[in-house]
Amino acid sequence: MHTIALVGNPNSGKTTLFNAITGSNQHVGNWPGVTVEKKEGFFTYNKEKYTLVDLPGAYTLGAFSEDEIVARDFVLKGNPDVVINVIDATNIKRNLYLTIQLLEMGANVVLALNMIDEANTKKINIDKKRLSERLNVPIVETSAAKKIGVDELLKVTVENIGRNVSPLEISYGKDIDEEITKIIKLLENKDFLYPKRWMAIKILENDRDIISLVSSDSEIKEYIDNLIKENKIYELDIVDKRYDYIKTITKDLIEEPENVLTTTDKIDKILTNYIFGLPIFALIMIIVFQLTFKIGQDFLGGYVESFIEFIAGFIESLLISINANELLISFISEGFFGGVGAVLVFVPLIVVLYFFLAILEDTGYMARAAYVMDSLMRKVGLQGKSFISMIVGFGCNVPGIMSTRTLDNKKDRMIAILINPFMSCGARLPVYMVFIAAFFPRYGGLVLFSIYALGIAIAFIMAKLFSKTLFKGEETHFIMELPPYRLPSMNSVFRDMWEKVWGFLKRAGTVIFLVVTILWVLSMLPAGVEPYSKESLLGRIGSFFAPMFTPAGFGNWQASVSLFAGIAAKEAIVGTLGMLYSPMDLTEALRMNFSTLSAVSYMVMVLLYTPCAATIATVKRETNSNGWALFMAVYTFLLGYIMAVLVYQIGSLFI
Amino acid sequence: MLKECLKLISEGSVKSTKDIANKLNISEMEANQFIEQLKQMDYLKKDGSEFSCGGKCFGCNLSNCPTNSFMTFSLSEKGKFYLKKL
Ligand SMILES: Nc1nc2c(ncn2[C@@H]2O[C@H](COP(=O)(O)OP(=O)(O)O)[C@@H](O)[C@H]2O)c(=O)[nH]1
Repeated sequence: MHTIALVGNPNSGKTTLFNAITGSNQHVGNWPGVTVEKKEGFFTYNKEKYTLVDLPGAYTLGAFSEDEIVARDFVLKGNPDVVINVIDATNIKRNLYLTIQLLEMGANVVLALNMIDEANTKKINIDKKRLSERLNVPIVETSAAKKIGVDELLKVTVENIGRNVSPLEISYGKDIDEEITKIIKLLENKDFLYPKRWMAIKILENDRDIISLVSSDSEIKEYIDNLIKENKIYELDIVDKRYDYIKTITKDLIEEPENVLTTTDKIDKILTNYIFGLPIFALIMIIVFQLTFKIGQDFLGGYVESFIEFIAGFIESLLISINANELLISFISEGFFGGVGAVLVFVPLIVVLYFFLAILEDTGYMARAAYVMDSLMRKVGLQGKSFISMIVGFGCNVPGIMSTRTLDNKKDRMIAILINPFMSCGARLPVYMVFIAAFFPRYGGLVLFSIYALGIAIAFIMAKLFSKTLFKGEETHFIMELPPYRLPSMNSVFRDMWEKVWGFLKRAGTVIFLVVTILWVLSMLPAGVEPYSKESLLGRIGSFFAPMFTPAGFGNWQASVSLFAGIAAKEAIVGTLGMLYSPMDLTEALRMNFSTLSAVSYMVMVLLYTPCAATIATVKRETNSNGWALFMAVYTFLLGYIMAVLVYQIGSLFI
Repeated sequence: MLKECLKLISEGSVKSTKDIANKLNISEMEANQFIEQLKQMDYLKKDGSEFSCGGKCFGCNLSNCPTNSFMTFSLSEKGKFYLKKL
């Protein structure tokens, strides 16, 4: 019985064709010694039965994978009478690479020009007749999916059994051709099962399978060692020559419409444009921030706030009605609702902001943003890839810093870690929100955007500084592959959003609650002191540090206490302010204690100063060094302080 | 062309197959093909492992985790070695 083999690139339609030919006459087994699936089937043509073997899909017949080795071994040693090479007509040049290799092996090839239906729709025209002449191979157009041309393919295949073929000999250029001749000489009179010229080429291609086979021969082994010693690496040249050969052979035979742009290409042309990419990114972010305010604050924010107020009022009156301890009432209404409640109010805003960010990420836009930022980032010595850790940092700096693990290079990684806290995390959002509500209610989106942008700018400046001073070293270069756009999966977007809210609530109930409780106790002591006053323990601590911040415009003790609370967790800043100013409305209280300018300098300070304890701990863990953790804590504090002072002092000149 | 692709990437003057296609004056499809070839031959390697927050960190916002992200490829040791020998 004659054996026919089926080979082709993955996705060329090989399986579809195999099924179309064999129908249910097939069985699956394994190739001996490997885990690769072996599919075999039968078909009858003109009352004669033939075996059809489906070889694993492969782009090349090197030794890069088990699949490739199985496929080529069968072609060379399984003695198939005909090898049907399925090629995707819509991507013919790429597919011909495999064909060329089959021809070099001396296989009796019949080409199935598959997906011809799709090629026609795409207006790709292939001069089948002349291509067949140039390649010296029969070609049959097929559409396996529509079962077109399958009979013709079988007819031509059967007709070609026993056709006399000699291996294709491509000229690889003078040097390589000479080497090939020399190796063929060495291989003479030695009984390897493979064709000599093919083996010679494989040896020069550094094919590990063939090299280990011939290394048993000392003469050849010596020759190969010499090649390596003389730095004669021909692998790429050989592959290049094959592509050149394909180019020559297909010249004038393939007509295809110039660059058919996919939807992704079309969108990318605009979004990743060299000039417009960055402004578009900025615009999208401004819109996101503005929408966040519109939906999260104006629309949803009120409900949560009223709800919390309602609960607070209810519990307070309940406590009063049962004559509860005065301290307890104070703790519940000022500490818990004034402090933790002040943070909870921001849940809707956070939900909305991260909802939009999740959509940007899931659609594939964030990857484009990274692509656009890449040129800029390279200039400051950062990698485009670090942008991932920066985007993650916008959620929380802890995973942001952890995600720098994807950077292989130590220098890139250290810089990415050290600048990550300037990516304003979700916990800092409530701070900006209260100050915006108090001072810039009409420009929320713009102010928020400016803060985030300032964070990125500072990150870039520091990155440049670090790469010029602390971490010099070689840069790694790479190319990026962008994912195709897709519709966001609402399922995952909503799940993520829920997790976000849950995480936020959990923190409010634990860390923030703890910090607020401690500060509440400190503001009640020593016994008998006016609560939340300057004379309380907390007030005295705050007053000690406060003068330091006078040049930055926020020299009141409440501001400095809350900054220190913020080192425990950033949400605690708002929690602390809320408690210290309660029962007054926080926005009102801020307007009384801050000026517009000092509100700005305070926000700058919050953006830049020492990251939260969890982040510092992460730096220590990831760098495995106390020194870097300390460095992180100190340099950011100084930077934040200097910037806040600069903002306030320079601003004062104008206002 | 493969050599040229490899060189361009190592110089850092290209960041996508589109750029390579422009610089070498070839079609994007060809550029893609060359890059695929280089990957397959281990001259280029995929960078880093995928990062996943996996809910391990407190306050981590999964929606900010790269869910539909880009991949990057840089020269493997083999690729670097090859260019050095050139
Ligand atoms: N339009 C069209 N699609 C095809 C044709 N042959 C296969 N396909 C489709 O191409 C995809 C890949 O085919 P498959 O047989 O799995 O490819 P394999 O990886 O080479 O085995 C499947 O979705 C098929 O339905 C064809 O001739 N025309």
